[in-house]
Amino acid sequence: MNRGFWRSGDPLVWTAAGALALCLIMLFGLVGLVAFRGLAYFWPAELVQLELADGSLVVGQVTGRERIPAPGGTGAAARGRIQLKVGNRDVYGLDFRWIEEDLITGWSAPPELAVVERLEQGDAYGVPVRLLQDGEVAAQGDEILERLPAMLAEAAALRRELRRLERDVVGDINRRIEAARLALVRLERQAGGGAASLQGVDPHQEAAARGQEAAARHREAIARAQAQYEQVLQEIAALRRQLSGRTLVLALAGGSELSVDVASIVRIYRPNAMSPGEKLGFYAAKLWEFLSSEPRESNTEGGIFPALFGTVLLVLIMTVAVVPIGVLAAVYLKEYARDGWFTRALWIAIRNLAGVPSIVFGIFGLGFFIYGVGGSIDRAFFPERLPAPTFGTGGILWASLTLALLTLPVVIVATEEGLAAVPRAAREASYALGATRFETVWKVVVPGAMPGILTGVILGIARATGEVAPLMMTGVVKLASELPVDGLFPFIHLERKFMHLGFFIYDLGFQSPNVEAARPMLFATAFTLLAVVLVLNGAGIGLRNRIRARIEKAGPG
Amino acid sequence: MRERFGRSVWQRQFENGEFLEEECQVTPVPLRTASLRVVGGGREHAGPAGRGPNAHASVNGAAGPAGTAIAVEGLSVRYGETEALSGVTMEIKKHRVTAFIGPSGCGKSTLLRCFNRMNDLIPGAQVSGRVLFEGRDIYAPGVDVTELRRRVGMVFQRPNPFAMSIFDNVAYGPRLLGLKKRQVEERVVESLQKAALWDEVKDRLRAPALALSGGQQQRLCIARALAVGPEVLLMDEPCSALDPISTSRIEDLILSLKEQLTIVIVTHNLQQAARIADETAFFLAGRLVEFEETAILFARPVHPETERYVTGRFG
Repeated sequence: MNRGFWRSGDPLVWTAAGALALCLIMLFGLVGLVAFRGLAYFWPAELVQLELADGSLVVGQVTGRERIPAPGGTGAAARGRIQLKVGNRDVYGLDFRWIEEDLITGWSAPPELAVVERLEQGDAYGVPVRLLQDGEVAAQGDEILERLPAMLAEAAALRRELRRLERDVVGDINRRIEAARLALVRLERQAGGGAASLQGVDPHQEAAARGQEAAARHREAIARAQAQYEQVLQEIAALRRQLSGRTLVLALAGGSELSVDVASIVRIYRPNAMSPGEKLGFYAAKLWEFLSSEPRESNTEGGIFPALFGTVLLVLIMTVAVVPIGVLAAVYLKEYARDGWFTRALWIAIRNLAGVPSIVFGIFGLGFFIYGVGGSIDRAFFPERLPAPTFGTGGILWASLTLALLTLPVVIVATEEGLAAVPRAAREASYALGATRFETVWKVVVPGAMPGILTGVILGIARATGEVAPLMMTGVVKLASELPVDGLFPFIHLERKFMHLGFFIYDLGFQSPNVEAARPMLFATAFTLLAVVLVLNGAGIGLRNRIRARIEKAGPG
Repeated sequence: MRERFGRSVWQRQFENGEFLEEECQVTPVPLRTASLRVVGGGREHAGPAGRGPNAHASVNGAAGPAGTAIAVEGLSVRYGETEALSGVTMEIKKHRVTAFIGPSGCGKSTLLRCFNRMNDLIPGAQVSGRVLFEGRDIYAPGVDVTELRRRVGMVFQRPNPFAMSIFDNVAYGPRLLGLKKRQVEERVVESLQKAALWDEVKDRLRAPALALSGGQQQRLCIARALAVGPEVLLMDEPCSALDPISTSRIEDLILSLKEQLTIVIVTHNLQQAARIADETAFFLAGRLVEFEETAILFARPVHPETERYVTGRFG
């Protein structure tokens, strides 16, 4: 009986099922946590007003709750405490507060409480009481919320204009000055070289005259650009004046007041007074802002668009780099190379390469790509900019190539497996039709291995999207002022530094000055990264399935 | 590509001193495609008529004896230490169906694979002796193997269509020849008609070939082999993986193709050999035991081993 029980295999089946269940629980637990916390970030949470035992009032959003371990053993009743985001960092110093539940005597959610999202100092919570225009009262009570949206739109437009001036116009002037300066440096170098080789002959003097003429032209360009710069500075100052002058006064819990510059308000809303429909609309707007705008407040507020863009671009460049090299290498090794000890050793090496820590690839990328290749490019093509590096510093190109190197073994091994899975019969059929080896490999074997190759690419992308360590050495930054792709010639600037979701998470989680405030953003970013991996993988899997369907299963007609 | 193919034939014949005036009047490849084009337009029966005289012209012109497609002289094949075939000498006649029978491992498939040098792909295979195709030794140095395989096509035991559409499968060979799109299409249609598959697939040429039934797949493989315009078709147990109805369709097909091609078929099915083969060769342990008209071989075998085999007493 007992023997029969073991021989039936049931215990093993149950163990296997248990292992699977454990995996699923861990997986869904992780994804569920990240998704729940990440997606809850955009929901307009209720603002509560608490009365405490000492008679004081506190206003905030409940962000957490935990039990306090009773001191002195298990006898005492466990008590709880709640974490309250009280906002108003400029008034209270900290925007989070722990409050023991025992001390709370009253709990209400007054509809007039408003959340004021600001460009700086985080959210402010309070009741809007007065709107001041140059010190005079312009509106009071409910009138404020009627008049504010127009003002906020106006302020937003002014901010956009200011940003355009500060970044695009001033940036353009800077570029012109830099270009003229580099041209001057080049002229000086030429003049220096020329003087050494051509000793005081006529052509030299002519050239020197021409050179001086050009130098004068460049200096003039610099002077013109600087004059323009002064002008733009004045415009900026005027805009700033236009922006200032309006103030919103909030009544805070406990009777004090807080003045908020209207120009620094992103949005204002009353979560307690919102209908579910309004809340959904608000949710969508927040989500869109998160995905489409740039971060602010040292990445704890605003959006993640540059990081999202950087991640996707990084993976795309990596894919473009790794697929041809990996596939060609695998085809050569599998189809052409003689099967000897060297080939076998190479296979072992490639398989083991997949186990090398990614940080080692990062260091290699830094040493080889950045200092080696990038440094050489700088010396050869951009000597006038030295010592400031152009390609000799971290950038999205080098990070992509480092990741390509990292995923190369995955692609090679998967391609090899795909090639091996192409039946011998298919090769024979091709040879029997008079195909050469080359024709057989490229028209039958490689297309037949395509699903396998794509599987490798998908695995590689999945691995590369989540990598952070090698990027830290090859050009990822906390905040990049410019995207690697923009409207300026040559449109794609692969030498630029970039932002990345994975590094964003690391930075937010461990380097942020205000970790508590950053936490919701952290989950939302992690969820976005998961979604990016999912979308990139989904695209790869979709492509693979389409190819499979085309070559294997019947379509209609 | 086509030009190169044509030129290589000429050059080699010229170098071998086999360049004859009769052949000089027609450039072989363009004429062949021209005749195929006629076939494509006017159903399959125009095929042999259009092609026959041309084929015969080259037969008569070539050095080999009239009516012989492949001559084997003292052929032995070794795979490493094992001898798969020893001292086989035989002649395969043109426009006839020749069947190879014998128990498993007797070397009949090995011999078949010598005819288009598919054995080259097996590491360690060593061939000695001569195989003359159209009078030329195909194992001589400098022979263009790809061209040989175009002229000596092959159909395998298991249907092995490429993982492509039906059309692309048949078009594979013609495209290798570098034919233009229109010519490729004509050849595909014509080959599918010859392989008696056209009516079943004409509405779904873009469907994956692997979605066809086993019998259809095998006829597709035959169409694919026909599309490069071979003179000889080697069939390695083409029906062993098929059901009886598919088998009989393939057998009908073989009989209809006989007018245009020389067919060599390896089979385990003695009834099949009796039904379709004009001549039958019996192999045992790497040797050719008996090679005779099919009717004679089955009715009055000379060798006792042959008799025992065909009467089902061993093998």
